[in-house]
Amino acid sequence: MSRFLEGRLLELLADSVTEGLCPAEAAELLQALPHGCGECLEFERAAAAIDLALATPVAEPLPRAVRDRILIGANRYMESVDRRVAAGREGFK
Amino acid sequence: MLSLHDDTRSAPGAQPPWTWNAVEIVRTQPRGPGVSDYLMQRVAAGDTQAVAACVDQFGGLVWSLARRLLGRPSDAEDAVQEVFIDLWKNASKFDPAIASEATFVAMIARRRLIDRRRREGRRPETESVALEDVPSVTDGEQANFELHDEAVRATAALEQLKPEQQSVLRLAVRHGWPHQLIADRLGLPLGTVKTHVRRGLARIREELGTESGAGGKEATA
Repeated sequence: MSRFLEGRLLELLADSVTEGLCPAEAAELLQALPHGCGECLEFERAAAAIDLALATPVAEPLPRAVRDRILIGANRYMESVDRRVAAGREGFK
Repeated sequence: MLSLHDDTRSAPGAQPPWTWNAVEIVRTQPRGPGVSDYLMQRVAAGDTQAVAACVDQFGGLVWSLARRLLGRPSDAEDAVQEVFIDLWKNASKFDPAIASEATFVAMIARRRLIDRRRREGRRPETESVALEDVPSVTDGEQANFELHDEAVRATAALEQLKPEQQSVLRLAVRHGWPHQLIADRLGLPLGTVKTHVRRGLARIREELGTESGAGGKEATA
């Protein structure tokens, strides 16, 4: 890979984990990574690690009402998984 | 994630191994031997008690990320629910050999939040952000969640960067400021900001190692 293309690839990777990419840039990034997106995940991990490293002393707590809605959503998700599992078992009979 | 061959779940039509009332999910079967200590792996195995524990352990982290990156509380409320659905869907991709659970959660959350913000044209909250100060590792150790190995290594690498680079990375990564806004506020050329972000992230990636599929198995989409 040329130095120019390598620089462009790094720019797209950095943009993807900070500003996000438009559809055209996302397609360009995928095309530049013919062997999968391991590098995307490495950049995502680096950004997440920076985020945690710079964590404020006390994280703002999750509001109780939001927590309750998340648990309701989790239940619905688990039920949908159960239904798919059941349907799959029926399909194997 | 549950598979078609997962016999730990109930058979079709049978009573599920857990019940819930309104908002509390209560597991009715005890954890057996060999059950993972990792919440993500337990969620992937269908352990609903782990689901609630996951929300309690990482809810503050995800909420803080959403408030910082999206600004408005109403946006953050919707986004946090989407993030947790993503977490349930991707739980099976968590690999403790590659990243801590906190890092995995932050990766999934950041991806969803950045996508959402871009899609909706939102701008992060900027009023309360000081431009210069960079918290030290000592500050991080007091956070509600444990400071994990990746964060310690990232902090060490951050501290080796020039103050200007640290400030740019903090504003771009932690506060989610657009690069042009950082350039305007810090009085730097846009190209310099982009270079600091790119080199800073590359430096942290190098410090963390380059295991394939970092943070989880391939394509934690």
